[in-house]
Amino acid sequence: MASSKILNLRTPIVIASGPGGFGEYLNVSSIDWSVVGAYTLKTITLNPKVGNKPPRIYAFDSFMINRIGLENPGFEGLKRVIESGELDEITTKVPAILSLGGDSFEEYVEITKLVKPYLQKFIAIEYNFSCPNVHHGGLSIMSDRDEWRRLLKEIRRETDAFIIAKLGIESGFIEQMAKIVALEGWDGVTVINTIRGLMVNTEGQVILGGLSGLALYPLALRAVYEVRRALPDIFIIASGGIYKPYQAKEMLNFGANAVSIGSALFQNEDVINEIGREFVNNTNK
Amino acid sequence: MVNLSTESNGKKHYNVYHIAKKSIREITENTYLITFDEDISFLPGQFCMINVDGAGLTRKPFTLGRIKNRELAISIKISGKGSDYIVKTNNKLNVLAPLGKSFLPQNQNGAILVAPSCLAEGIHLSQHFNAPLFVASKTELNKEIIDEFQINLTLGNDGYLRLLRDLNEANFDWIFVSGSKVMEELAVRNMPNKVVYVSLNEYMACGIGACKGCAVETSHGIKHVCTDGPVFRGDEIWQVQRY
Repeated sequence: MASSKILNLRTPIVIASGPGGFGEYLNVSSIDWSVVGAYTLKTITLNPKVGNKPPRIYAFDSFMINRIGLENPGFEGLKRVIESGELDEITTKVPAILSLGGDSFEEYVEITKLVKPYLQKFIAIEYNFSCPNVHHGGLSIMSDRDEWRRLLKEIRRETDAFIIAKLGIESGFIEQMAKIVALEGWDGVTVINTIRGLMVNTEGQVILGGLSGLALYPLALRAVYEVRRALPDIFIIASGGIYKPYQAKEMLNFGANAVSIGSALFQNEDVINEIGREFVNNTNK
Repeated sequence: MVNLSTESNGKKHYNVYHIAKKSIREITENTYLITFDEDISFLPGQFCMINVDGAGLTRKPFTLGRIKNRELAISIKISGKGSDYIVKTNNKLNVLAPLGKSFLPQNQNGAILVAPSCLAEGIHLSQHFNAPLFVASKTELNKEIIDEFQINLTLGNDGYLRLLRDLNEANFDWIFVSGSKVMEELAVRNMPNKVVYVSLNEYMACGIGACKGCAVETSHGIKHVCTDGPVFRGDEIWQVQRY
């Protein structure tokens, strides 16, 4: 049955997996990391991925599309930075959430087993079940509902970590998907991921990718609302189009336990400080 | 941050500056040279990302330059709401810098070739490396700017191709080119005798190596303009037939 574990974050602000990369924003001197609850690393898969061919990203006024394709160095790359102590450069400043993905059932299970010795470095694992930019795994792993459910069960059996499923809205009603996650004993959900979209850039190139940005906000808010209505106890990280403090507050009001800041970092990473100040001020009142 | 990227980024430190525009001069139609009151420390070839307030979801990248080796400058072509905001706003600009690797040519015997939209970088590199400055433009340039910065101006497509042929035979070891992708590709393909460096301008979102959006295919695999570049050897990007 659903876990009622709580992820104890020092603040309810989380850096989203993907836009935050592998900690690069820690190099930006203007960010006050004391207001950030956790930094979710970019998704790691069992084997390295070089990502998709360029062009990979394009933006208009209220939305952007990316097709990065989960570029990452694979488990061996992760192991290298953990064992060399480089990861500690992040975790001494802000707690980290590990994001894992895979191209198949077996890969998700395999990487879950491999990361076990390193879990004390992370406060949670987020599983990416919703990347729209890879042909296998990601969003497509959920297309066979029975297999996905078996995968959730298998991962839960393999690990005692605080595990979070990152869900999109293209694989069925999100509250139904979240119920399955909860029934398999998982601890949380991140809602939502990018949604498949299409843009043509100034060079006339068609970009098929995941849509993010401001335009995602009402969809993400509705998703949080629906999941919370269906599941009073599950831990929810709200993700999608949060650019302003009022949006972060609204997400929490509609049932999120934390808010994830992603593409807003690209416009101005000061969004973290702005939202952080808002929460700190409210807490002190 | 940590080395989970394809290439090691080394230790990086990025600052956010709030800087006021000092002067705006028209270079050619819709294209401007902007100088600033404040300074930002950077190396030749590096760039910055400028916030456009509500006029776009991402900061916009600009190569950094100096006028007379002192005054911080960028050049900019108005091509949308973001660049329009940067030229017209009276507010201080929010600038993330310095970004990317510096440009280190093999020797001082080179030439600089830029489009008007990359003039600030061109002036800076020309003065820094004591190299002649060529500007290839579709439209006439402001005469004062031509005289002040000793620009060798070439107009139109045919003129540009003639210039490339001339430079290919000239006594330079390398040519630095910064402009549109088409302009850079033509330069690489038409100057097979030279080492051609190109400053790429792939669409980017973060500018610091996090998002992996500004990937380019090179002869050494996928690279990222923001952390591996922005300056690359042209023959890493486009195949060159050498004779």
